[in-house]
Amino acid sequence: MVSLNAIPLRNDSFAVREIGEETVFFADKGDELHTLNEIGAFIWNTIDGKRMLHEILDCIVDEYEVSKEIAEKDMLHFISELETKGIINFKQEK
Amino acid sequence: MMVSDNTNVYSLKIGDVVIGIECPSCDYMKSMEEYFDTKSVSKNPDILIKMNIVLHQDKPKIPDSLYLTKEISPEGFSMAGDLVKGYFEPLERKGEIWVKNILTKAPITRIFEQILYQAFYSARNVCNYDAFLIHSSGVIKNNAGYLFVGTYDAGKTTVANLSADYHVLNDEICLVSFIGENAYLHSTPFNGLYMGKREGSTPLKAVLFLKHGKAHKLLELSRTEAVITLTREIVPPIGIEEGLSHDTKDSMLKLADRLSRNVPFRLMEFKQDPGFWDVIDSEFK
Repeated sequence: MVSLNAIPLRNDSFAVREIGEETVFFADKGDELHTLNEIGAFIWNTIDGKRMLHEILDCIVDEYEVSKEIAEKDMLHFISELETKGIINFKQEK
Repeated sequence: MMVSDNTNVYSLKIGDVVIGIECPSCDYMKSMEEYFDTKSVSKNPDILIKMNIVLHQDKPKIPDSLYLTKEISPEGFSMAGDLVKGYFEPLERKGEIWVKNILTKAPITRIFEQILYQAFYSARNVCNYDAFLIHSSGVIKNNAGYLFVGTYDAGKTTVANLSADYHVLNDEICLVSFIGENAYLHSTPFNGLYMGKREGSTPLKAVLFLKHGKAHKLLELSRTEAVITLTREIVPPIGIEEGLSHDTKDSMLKLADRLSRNVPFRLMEFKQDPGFWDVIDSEFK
């Protein structure tokens, strides 16, 4: 389980474009692609290489009418998917 | 614009740009004209590429994509090892390539065309021509252009064959240009399987994403799905002197997004008869 103090980083080897309410990710090489819905795109846009996951969670709770418990569970699941797909990784602690 | 005294320069027009290919001999130039079924145009080329044929005894592996094997070095570029190598100087608008002989023999010439796609983008860049190549079939009917897009087995050539009564531009690679945000469809000299391709240009009326079906139907498609499919079919917009990079896929995505915002699109289910034109005519009066 990833810590809420972890800092997610975007993987720059994906081309990203917002199409309406969805966000499309294309791997730089090959045809691999992923799409995010509006909330996924919101989380993606909060990943700036500085915010910790608990700060991103605060952003979600501020933006959407959702309890912190549910938001945390959904966010961690989503972040885990992004990491599995290679769209993000985590800042290594020194 | 380049001026060459060499009489073996084959000048190939693609949209508004002309690529000059300086052939090793008059015979090569004639074989280029035969292959593309297009005479060398009289306009001076925008870029000039001297082509050298390398005779060889080895049997090099031919990749499906020259792009994925392309390497850039301070001396220039190479593709698939030394199958193709060369350089291009955008400021001088001149370059030179060395191509192993096997690449000029049918049916591998289809791979050779990928060099010319890249040369087109080099010319496009030096001329600031707002255009891109896309794997597609293009047809003009009643002065309106229709672009049919799909994967290799989606039916691009089938649509071309079923549209023989109209003006078929190409069944493999078409050119889309923009003037402002107005999109135009153009023929290209590149070869697919359809034998009756004709030159032409016209405003682009619609993009149809192909799907084999049991009836002719036009269906709504989300813009995300349209952009994803278009991105996959756009020929990577890199000049012959450039390699694939992060910016390449980003450019393809932007082009696809731009096209989808400016031209109506539908998913077209079709069966093997020209009746799909009735539903197109009805939808895009």
